[in-house]
This record gives sequence, C-alpha cells and structure tokens, in this order.
Amino acid sequence: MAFFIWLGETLSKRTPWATLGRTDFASSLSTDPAQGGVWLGFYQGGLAYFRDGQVRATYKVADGLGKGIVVDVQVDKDGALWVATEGGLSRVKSGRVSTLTSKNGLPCDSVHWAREDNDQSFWLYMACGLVRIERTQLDAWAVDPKRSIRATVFDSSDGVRSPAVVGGHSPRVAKTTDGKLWFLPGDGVSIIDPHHLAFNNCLPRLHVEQISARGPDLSGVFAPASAPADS
Amino acid sequence: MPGGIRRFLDGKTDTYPLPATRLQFKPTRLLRDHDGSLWIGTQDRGLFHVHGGRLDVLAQSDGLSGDDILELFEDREGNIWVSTNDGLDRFRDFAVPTISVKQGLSAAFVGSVLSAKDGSVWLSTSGGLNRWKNGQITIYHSRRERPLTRPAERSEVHDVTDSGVPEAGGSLFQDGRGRIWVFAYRGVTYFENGRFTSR
Repeated sequence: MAFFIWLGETLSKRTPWATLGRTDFASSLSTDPAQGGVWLGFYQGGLAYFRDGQVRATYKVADGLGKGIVVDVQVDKDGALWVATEGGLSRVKSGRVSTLTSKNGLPCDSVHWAREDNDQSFWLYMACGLVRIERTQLDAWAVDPKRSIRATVFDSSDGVRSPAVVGGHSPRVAKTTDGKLWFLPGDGVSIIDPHHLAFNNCLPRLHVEQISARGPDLSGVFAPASAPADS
Repeated sequence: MPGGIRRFLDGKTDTYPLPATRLQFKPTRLLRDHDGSLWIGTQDRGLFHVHGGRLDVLAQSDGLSGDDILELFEDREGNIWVSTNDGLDRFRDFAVPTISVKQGLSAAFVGSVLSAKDGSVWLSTSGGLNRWKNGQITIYHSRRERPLTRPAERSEVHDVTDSGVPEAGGSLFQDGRGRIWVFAYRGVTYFENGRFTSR
C-alpha cells in the first residue's frame, strides 16, 4: 500500500508507507491550507506532517497524542489541527499537543471526527453519541488543558446512532451550504441542523415529598404540595 | 361501507382528501397536533399521519404496537402518544433524523458524503452514487446495477442507469473546477456537465 500525490491532470507520484518509516498505513488525511502539505493519521496511532516529499514532523502518544487509530484529522480556520483518535480528541498547534478525554468531561474517549459549525460550536461524533461543545469552552481548554469542558450529548433518544467503529471512505462528514452537518452512522445518512436545535425547554413539574431541617421530618407541619413548573 | 374522513367547512361537508392512498380504512380517532398535522387512528390499518401534503401510514409491520388504534394524545412537550390494542407508542421529532432506503437512497450502506458547492450532497453507497438536491434524489447506477423497485409515490427519486459511474463507488472529492471525483476500487471517474468521465 502507498499513497499517491496527484501532480496535475494525469501524473501521480506513488509514495510507499515504508518510505515514511511506517509498517502500517494512513487511516486519515487532511491538507493544511495554512502551511501547505498534508497531515497523515495512522492506523496504529501517530501522526505525520508531510510536505515537499518529506516528513517534516511526527507526533506519537508519548508526545501527548490520543491513543489508538487516528480516525480523522482536520485543520480548523485558526490553523489548529484536530485529531480524532480512539483515545480522545487531540489538538496540535505550534508543535504543542493536548488531548481532550473523558477526564476533561467528554462522555467517552473514542472520537470518530470533530467539525466546527457556523454557530461557534464544535461537534464530535463519538462511540457514545454526537457531542456539542461551544468554541469558547474549547478555546479555554486549549489554554489550560487540565480544565474540564461542558458537553451536550445527543444520543439514541435524539435519533443518533453511534457505531463503535466507523469505516468506509472519505469524507465521512460534510457541512452543507445551509450549515447542516451530514454524517454517516453506517446505515443511511444522519443530519443535524446546529442552527435549529430542538431542545426540550419544558421544565418537569415540581412535587415536594418531604421537608426536613437538621434531622426532624417537618412534613406534618408543611403539607407536601405539587406546584406547576411554570409558577 | 368503506370508511374515510369527511371535512366540515363553511357549513358543508366534503371528503377530506388523503394524499397518495387508495387504502380502505375505518377511522376511530383524530388529532390535530401543534404543528397542524393530522393524526388519524384506524381500527384496522394502524395510524395515518398527514403532514405537509404527505401521508405516512404506520402499521404493526412498521413497528407500531398494534393496528387497532384506541386513543391519541399530545402532551405538553409535543409528544404524540398512541394507545393500540397491543401497547403504547410515542412519536416525537428527532433532533437528528436519518435518511436511508425508505426515504429513497439506493442502498443502506453509505461510505462517503460530500457537500458540493452548488448545494447538492453526494452520497456514495454500495448500490449507486446518490445526488441529493432540494429533496430530489438522483441515483447514478453503474452498468451492472439494477435500480430498486419503489412505490410510485416516490416521485422525488430518479434513476440514471449505465451512467458511467464505477461499481462500488468509494471516496468523493470536489476540485477547484467544480468536478466531483469518485475514487473507486475499479478506477477513478469525475462528474462534469451531467456526465461521468473515466481517468
């Protein structure tokens, strides 16, 4: 196996993976609009930056990259690289690597891809659902990687199908001209409209069953009552 | 006597037209929900849902608990509850809907998705290349593929046979000239001006 670099209309240059010092193959690829060249994520883990026929930089788990298969790589508008791995979402910028995992508030660790929407949020397709994180949360985490983030999880009760592994070809997610994200759960294609999210804003009705203060049960003094949620 | 729905309008009654069905049914319950769509419970055919000029028929064979509808109820969160002779079902809009063969795709397995600059979405499936635009689906088949037989009311799906697309389409890419490239196991083609060209 090898990867091919297209040179114009008909020429292509074949580069075997072994020449990049790998015994496996790339499982993901992204161009880098800011610096030129391409980023390659590998099946057995690790990342390489390739430009002008040479590997210019590599990153491994020991450098802070997430563990396992690198499922997706994507450069954002600020030039940061987002790396979806089985062991979390890694961010690479200016040679610095940090990885967001369940320890920082993700609902699980395995990330299939991450994309930014047109409404200042990131979407992570994970083995445990589709996860929304506000850009400001990620920016704060990028400054202090020990920080926890707040994530909103969309799961099977929202219609999200979450396979443990995503396969197939590329791309596996697309942002359409109307700002929706189309993505592949294996069977069919799923769609989320980040600009029109259906949140359930109905508060549940409040029902007081018991009142106590420093021990004694005061329910006999204050009769338990139901109050409508909107009062 | 065959059943149906009659509408009372301006002091007169007439037959309420149900889109695209010739089914005979015995209605038992009616519910107009918060979106203005109409739910019709029947005694023998399950549940009819009329919304936006479309009719969905939901029966036990589609996963409904029973075909005899006893009650319909909308709660304050907008869920529609349906009690049948054999259980209780809840309907609500998913934040994340999924489109598959039932909605017109050529195959369930979709390997890649590409958003094109003209607003269309390309889906590479195990049974042809699908181009979605404004709710219309065009399916480009290879020489060997046969289109699925689908109900006549699926007028939003169009099949193009022997389109020149390779079998078992793989990865997709749009270049700076707007061409859609299809990278398949059996070769590389691109789509431009309504046709595929092999490279």
